[in-house]
Amino acid sequence: MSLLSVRGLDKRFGGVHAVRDLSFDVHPQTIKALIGPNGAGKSTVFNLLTGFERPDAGSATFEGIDLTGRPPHETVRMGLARTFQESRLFDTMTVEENVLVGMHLRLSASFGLAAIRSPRVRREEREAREEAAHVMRLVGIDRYRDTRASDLPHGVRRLVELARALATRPRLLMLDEPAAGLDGRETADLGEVLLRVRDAGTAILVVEHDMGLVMGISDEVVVVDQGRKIAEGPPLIIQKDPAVLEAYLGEVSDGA
Amino acid sequence: MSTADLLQFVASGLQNGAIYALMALGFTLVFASTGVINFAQGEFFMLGGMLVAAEVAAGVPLGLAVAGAVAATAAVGALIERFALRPARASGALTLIIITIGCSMLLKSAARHLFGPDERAVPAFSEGEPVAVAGAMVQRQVLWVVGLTLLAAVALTVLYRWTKLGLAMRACSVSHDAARIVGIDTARVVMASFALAGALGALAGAVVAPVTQTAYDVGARMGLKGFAAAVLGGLGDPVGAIVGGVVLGLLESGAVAFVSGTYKDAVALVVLLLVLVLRPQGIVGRHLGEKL
Amino acid sequence: MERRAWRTLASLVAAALLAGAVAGCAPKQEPEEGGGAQKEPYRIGVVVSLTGTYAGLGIPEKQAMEMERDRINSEGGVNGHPIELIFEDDATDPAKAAAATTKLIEQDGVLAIIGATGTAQTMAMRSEIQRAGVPQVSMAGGSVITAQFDPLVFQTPWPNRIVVPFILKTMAKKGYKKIAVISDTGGFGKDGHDIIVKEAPAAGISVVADETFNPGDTDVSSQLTKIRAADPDAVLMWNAGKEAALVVKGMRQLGMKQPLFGSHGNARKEFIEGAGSAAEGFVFPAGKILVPEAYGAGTESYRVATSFIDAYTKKYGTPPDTFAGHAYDAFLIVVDALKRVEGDVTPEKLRNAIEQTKGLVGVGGTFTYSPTDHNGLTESELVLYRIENGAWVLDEQ
Repeated sequence: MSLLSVRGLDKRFGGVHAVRDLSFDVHPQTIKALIGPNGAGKSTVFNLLTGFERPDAGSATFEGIDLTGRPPHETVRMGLARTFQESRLFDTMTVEENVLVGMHLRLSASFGLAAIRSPRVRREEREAREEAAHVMRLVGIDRYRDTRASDLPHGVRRLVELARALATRPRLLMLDEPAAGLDGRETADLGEVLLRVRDAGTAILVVEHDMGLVMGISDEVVVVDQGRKIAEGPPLIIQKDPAVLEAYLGEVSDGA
Repeated sequence: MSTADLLQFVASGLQNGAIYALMALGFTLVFASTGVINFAQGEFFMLGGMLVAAEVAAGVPLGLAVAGAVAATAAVGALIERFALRPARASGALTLIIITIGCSMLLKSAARHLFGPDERAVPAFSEGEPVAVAGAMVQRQVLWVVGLTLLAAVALTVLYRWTKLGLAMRACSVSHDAARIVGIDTARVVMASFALAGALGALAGAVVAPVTQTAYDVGARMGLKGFAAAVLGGLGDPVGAIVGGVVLGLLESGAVAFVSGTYKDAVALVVLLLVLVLRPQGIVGRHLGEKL
Repeated sequence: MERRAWRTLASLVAAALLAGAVAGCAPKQEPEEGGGAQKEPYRIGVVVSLTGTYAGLGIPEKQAMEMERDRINSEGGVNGHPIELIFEDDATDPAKAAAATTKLIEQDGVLAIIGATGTAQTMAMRSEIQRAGVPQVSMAGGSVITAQFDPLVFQTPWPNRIVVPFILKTMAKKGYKKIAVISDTGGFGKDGHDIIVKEAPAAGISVVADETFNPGDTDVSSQLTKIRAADPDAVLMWNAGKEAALVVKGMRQLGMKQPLFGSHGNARKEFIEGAGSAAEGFVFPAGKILVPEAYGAGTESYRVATSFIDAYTKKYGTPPDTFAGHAYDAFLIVVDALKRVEGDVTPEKLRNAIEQTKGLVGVGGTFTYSPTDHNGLTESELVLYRIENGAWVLDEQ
């Protein structure tokens, strides 16, 4: 049974056909990489799946439930989480507060206007802080806990966004170039974190250009060129696929 | 000038400042959540006073009339967001601002048709002679003005810091996208912001109407002053709204005391221009004016 | 819905809102009153404030004129010609008053224009009036309207130039030698203020404090604090808007015991409603319409006034105020002049006929115009009122 099922996803922006009849699956507890030359429409796929854009055609289901066209906050509640290429953090808040925001919205079932703090809410908050601490340790940012997000170095910002996404307890985590701006050692650490996340039960769909990371941690890879899928399969097979190699001719891919 | 006179000027400044603070809060809440400057905010003020006057004339007890006016105007705010603004959400801030101007014109002419052009009196919340407060004489209604403003400020602080909605509003004021990806329904937050702005504007209008009487055309002037106060304090910052309101009230009072009553209204405009040119982020200015 | 469809809907909603607002602001055009007369109607333009600060004055004015037009037309019109009134709303804005004047002259070809409600608006109409040579009968009380004399311009209210000395003499007679003046910066208030300052010495009064406020102000306690510090014997207020209630209540708030005097701009029941108990003892001058007994029972003035009051009250459910009276007088003057024109009516002939008005009994007084006097009224048309138990009573004269 696949966790995420994408069928015939299609999107145009004016004259640009960004996503063409794209279909793929993500299975539970796997890491799937979404790769392809620049401008291949990969971020658009994320936007389509999480409700930031509406597809012109096609559909997607998550855990069997239709995902197409739902607004972003609903997709989060269904168990998807995503990050952005340029991190969108709450810059005026600390790292811990950023992570906590993700958790707070899950407290006390209703999104009521006057959910004033009660003993039950206070207990939930204490548990949330403990969980936030755990997530920050997992991702490796707990020493930045009280730092304002706007004061963070670029690489750490990506990790904070990752931690905040994890705080929403997703079953599928969609990461948009999480290794951009990280050096070799940081990238390796990130890979470790992602493997641990997968082993703990969360599937990951990751857009990445860093081939070392991709080949090192992915269970499956789907290759997209000019909006169209040109290959899908385990990393070792993809590496040798002639269509993939041709698409990448002329591309400078780092870390291969 | 005697001390008693000076204290009287200060009292006048604080009294007006409290109203400007409430209006500024309305502007700032909407701006923070949406980046939109809501030019219908002045009409929320007008509706507060006019609805209370109409309800009282129809026999509704005063307390209930005030609550009803505030609730009704909150609903008007929510309706404006839902049906006039949300469909045009993709059109950009300038278009949205123009739509709010259209809404303000509509509200004003609706009030004129429903309630007529004459000014209306509203009974004071409590009867009695003016009282002495710290050396100045104030009408009892002024105590209500300041008291209710403080209450509103406290209630907003509680909302902002300790409720889920408040957290969602704070998140939206920083980044809508970030808010969405943690599961916040930003559309609902925006609508709630407009409803709150409606309630705050109406509260200001209702509490000051016994002092000034109210009429269908009082919205524009108060809207401008509220906006100037919000910008003065720092648009987007609730603390700034209150600071800006009080400072504007005192500056106006000072202008009357030391220059002339003729220039009182000019103070808000001058302040607005100076702030935008010299220090756009306002007095408190924690959010730098990127959105501006 | 698709993005584009939402955008179209949003544009339609926005357009509908704007259209609704504009439609809400536009004045309703009056349907033609045929009256059954065969001849061409006499078209008279009216510029009046139906919205804005002076709407409370303009609407009674319009109502009075409509009532009188209907009555005249039902009686056969003027020399068999029905009267057609074309109303334009100036929104208490001088620029709009001027634009309305142009429209009435160019598009509607009116013989005369009654208007405006306010002084500033009246003055703004003048250059167009002069250019077209159409006579104007104003319902506003600023002296400047006739002090800056123009052969085409007439006025029906008692001008400030007459009212101010009247009230100043009253105040001096009551023993108040040092007074404070508080006025608004609108046309009527400013005009009154300037005359007060000029005429006070002649009445033996010195002005020890002089404060102003703006129409739309929500608080005048700072101005009153300065007045209190000057320790006047009495305070004289000159304005026509709702801020009058603020002044009265503000004086009470500051514990000021001085008596407050006002002008005919305060002759409105909204003033009493707004000021509440603080209005007790307020004294102001105005015409006799508020307490018709002042006309003198059995006189022609009394008959004219009471039939107007009765008809207006019956039709509109509330007695007419002084502003309705000014409009009644303006319309009466034009109609009376129309009757006296020989041959075809032109604006020039009409103007001459208006200027020849003699002893015409109206509600504000008995009008006699001349080539040098386009007010037509004297101080004898004024009486002094006091507010007692929330109603107007005649004060000792």
